[in-house]
Amino acid sequence: MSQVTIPAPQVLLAEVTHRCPLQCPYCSNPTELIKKDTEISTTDWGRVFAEAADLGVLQVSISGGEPAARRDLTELIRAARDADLYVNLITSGIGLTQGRLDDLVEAGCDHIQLSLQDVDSDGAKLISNMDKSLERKLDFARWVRERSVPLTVNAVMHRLNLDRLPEIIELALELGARRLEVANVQYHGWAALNKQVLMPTQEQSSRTNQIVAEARESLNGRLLIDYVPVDHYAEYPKSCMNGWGRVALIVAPDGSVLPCHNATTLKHLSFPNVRDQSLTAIWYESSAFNAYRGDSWMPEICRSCDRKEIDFGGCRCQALAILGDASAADPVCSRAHPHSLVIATDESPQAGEVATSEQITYRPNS
Amino acid sequence: MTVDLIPASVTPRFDYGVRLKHDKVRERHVVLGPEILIELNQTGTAIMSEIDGQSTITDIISRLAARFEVNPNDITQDVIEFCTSMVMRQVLRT
Ligand code: SF4
Ligand code: SF4
Repeated sequence: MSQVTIPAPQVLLAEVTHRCPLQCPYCSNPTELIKKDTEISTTDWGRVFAEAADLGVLQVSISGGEPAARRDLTELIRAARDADLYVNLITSGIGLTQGRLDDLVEAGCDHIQLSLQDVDSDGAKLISNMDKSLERKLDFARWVRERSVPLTVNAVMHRLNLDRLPEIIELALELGARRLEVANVQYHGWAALNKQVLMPTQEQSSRTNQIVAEARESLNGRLLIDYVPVDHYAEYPKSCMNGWGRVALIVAPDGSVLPCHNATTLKHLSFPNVRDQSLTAIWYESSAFNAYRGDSWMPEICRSCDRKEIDFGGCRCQALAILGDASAADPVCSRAHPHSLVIATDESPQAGEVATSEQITYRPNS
Repeated sequence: MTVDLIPASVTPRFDYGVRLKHDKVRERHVVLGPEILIELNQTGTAIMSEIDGQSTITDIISRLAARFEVNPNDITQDVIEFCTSMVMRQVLRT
């Protein structure tokens, strides 16, 4: 086995709670949500942030669920800043008053990323399963701008809202965002349960590529657009998390440490917990983090492929879910799997058609 | 995409939410900002350390030239190109 040099991690995703006032059917939280009574404490998080900084982490993204569902969010942000980390807050904007926002900013929140479900109030309600969620988010975005905190809008795209992408780009500009993430739904976890309703058509997907390319050109210097295309229509897989155990780590609400959001679906691995071990030991020594590092675990086709340093063989969770083998090449890859394994499901409802809430499997609030 | 270089007369400053940090673990400087994590080499570090929101690019060039004992004309293009790329990436604003 070739020796793998393990780089220090740069990014920590601190999923401080799975609780959320919204119920998006593509939520990246696992389908088995972690309950409030097993969440780790304020002190535990403080230790996690300090250990992460010592380990080489430079940025922390505090996310959820909705992080504001934790009453100690201000203390968490302060602890992360005290550890000299750059603090991103990833929020739905629901549940933060102006007063609380002041506290977060004062505690050292560097950047806020606000998720938007849609520009259309009914569309936003259909996805979030909450009345007036769009209106509340727009207020929140204004409060953020009034406090001169840099704002990124994160728009999660799927069949029901892709046709409104031009309006979403307009809205991001109006809100004073400097960055927009146009992120197509990744069809794992909750989203996999809602694939029928959410999967865009191939035509929508290619039109989106074009809209994004044009907007990048015309808004150059005003709005940076990050773009995650629909991976089912791609030729090669994306690199998941920039490679397993290479750049980032996730600490889940109960303190378990994961190399990617869906890692808990890999039942043959056991994930270490910050309650039992230091982050350093977990990163460098745990079998879970070492499981898919380097190339010795890869199938021959990946091991001899010139893209193995680009996509690292793709997503392990998808390989397991679709191919039944967590060590297989990503099912999206056309090199490894010449006959597409991930063809879109039948398209009901059609693009632009109105879906009803009965067709959707919402994630629960907790 | 063609890029217009920024003029040397402007005063660059850090864009909102951006800061320079010494990364002790990797012994180098990095720029941190919204979705921004840029490792700087020695030249980048030298330029970014001069950004104070007061000095123009011309001032920065002459300070760097004095510090590294080079002719300002020899580094002008590099400094302007570097600052332009940082403006494009929303690291600096003018
Ligand atoms: S339900 Fe929606 S807003 Fe809440 S965490 Fe999931 S994706 Fe984010
Ligand atoms: S064969 Fe493996 S490494 Fe090559 S592109 Fe496909 S998934 Fe990536």
